[in-house]
Amino acid sequence: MDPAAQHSVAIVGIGAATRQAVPGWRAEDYALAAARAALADAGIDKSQVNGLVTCKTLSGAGGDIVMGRALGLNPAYSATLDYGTCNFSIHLAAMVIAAGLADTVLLTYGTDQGSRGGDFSRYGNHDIHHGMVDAIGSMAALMFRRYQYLHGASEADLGAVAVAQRRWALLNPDALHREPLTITDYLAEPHYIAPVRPSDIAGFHDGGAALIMTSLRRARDQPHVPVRLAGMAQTAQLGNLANPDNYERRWMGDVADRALATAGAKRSDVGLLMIQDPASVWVLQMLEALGFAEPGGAGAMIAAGETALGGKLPLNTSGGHLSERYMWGWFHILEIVRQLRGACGARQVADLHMAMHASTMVAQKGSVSLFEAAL
Amino acid sequence: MTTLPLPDMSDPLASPHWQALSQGRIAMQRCGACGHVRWPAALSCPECLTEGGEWNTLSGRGTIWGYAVYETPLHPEFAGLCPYAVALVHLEEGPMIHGRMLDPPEELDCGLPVVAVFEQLADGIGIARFRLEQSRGS
Repeated sequence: MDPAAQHSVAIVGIGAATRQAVPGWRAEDYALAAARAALADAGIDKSQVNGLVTCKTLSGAGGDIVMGRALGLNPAYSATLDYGTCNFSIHLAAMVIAAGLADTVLLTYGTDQGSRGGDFSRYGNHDIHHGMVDAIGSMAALMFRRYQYLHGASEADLGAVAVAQRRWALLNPDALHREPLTITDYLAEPHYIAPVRPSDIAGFHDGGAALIMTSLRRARDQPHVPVRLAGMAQTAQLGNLANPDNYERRWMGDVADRALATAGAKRSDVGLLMIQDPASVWVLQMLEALGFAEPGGAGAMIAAGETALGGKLPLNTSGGHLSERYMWGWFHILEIVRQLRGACGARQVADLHMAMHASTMVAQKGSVSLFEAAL
Repeated sequence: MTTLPLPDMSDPLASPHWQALSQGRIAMQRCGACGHVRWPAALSCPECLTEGGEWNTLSGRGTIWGYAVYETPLHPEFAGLCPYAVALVHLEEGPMIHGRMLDPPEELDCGLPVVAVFEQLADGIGIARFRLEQSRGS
């Protein structure tokens, strides 16, 4: 395969679904509504789609068999990922296009976990008997306790994440959480699972997202500025569950190095960073592991305004999972596309050329993508 | 005793682990070829791929990697225990497992050595808890 093949793939359509049209929508109904919106955004008909990449929910909804039937598609290629977090799905779609299996790919994700109950809210088998009653909150608490031990960080360092992302959400009319949140407000919240507070944990929401990806050559014909996939890299740390590095996501630095190398870019080229944030401590860990902050320094960097509007590295500008809504990384990519199109209004990052999305899956898989507007 | 779902004792792969807990031991498989101690239970060693492995009783000692403190009840089963801490314990043989700490949360810190103690969850089903090897007061 042409080593530069990934450089010729772009996102040309995005769609979001956040509200039920009728009561009782399932995960697939949100994905379908988002797909319809993405096709319209790209200005194409479904007959032009010959690839389908879907992302399942943790409960197993939204596979390609179900989605292909709902969409009435008979594509040249289809596949499903169990761990989409959008980044992984985008990389698969790029490979499909680069390999010539399909040239226009629809990517979908939908979830009804807001109304059905969160997929992460329960621990299975034995762990519940220890009293670990919320998986994500428990992981966040013990990870941040470790972070404090390693770096001497304060709870205000952690709170800086939720406060900064809420400030961005105030500029996003589509964000769910738009009440102002100061660090004083944050510290006044009782702990949820100490040392984390309710504002450190994303809620569970219904919704869906979809993307249209195609070759850059075809993308030139679409109504919006194509958002080119400039670089990508992954890691799969599956072999040793007892590797403490997994809990700190240290290997994300290597993933970022490799992604930047594929793009021929450096960290200072990144003008917008979106970090998947089911819990705020993920943001501290990844901001440091990715090489944008010194170990232990992420909280101070955020509190100093360096990731705010006008700062040197705007971070999670939609409000992220914590303040916009929880959508397994998919809305992070929608935000990147809107920012690179220059369509973000009050929260638009000025003079933006390159954006990075970093995500992890159960602290075992890691993924980094780089995007730029193909003007 | 508990109203929550219990481990499947009939699982042939993992049942030696659960049976050992009911006898007051932490048991995990040790690879006969490379000595790697593994958890969860598996038919072969994930390090060197050798099949089999003996169930060994571990020391029950380890250090606290991190811990979460439950100050307010999030589930009726544990309401009477609050505040309590659940630690991720790095066992000295290598694996990492969760366990509830029996010490008051304010006495805990990462890196402190802990030792397993055992309770019965239900008839014939045990569970490991942990306590600080040396309480800070002593």
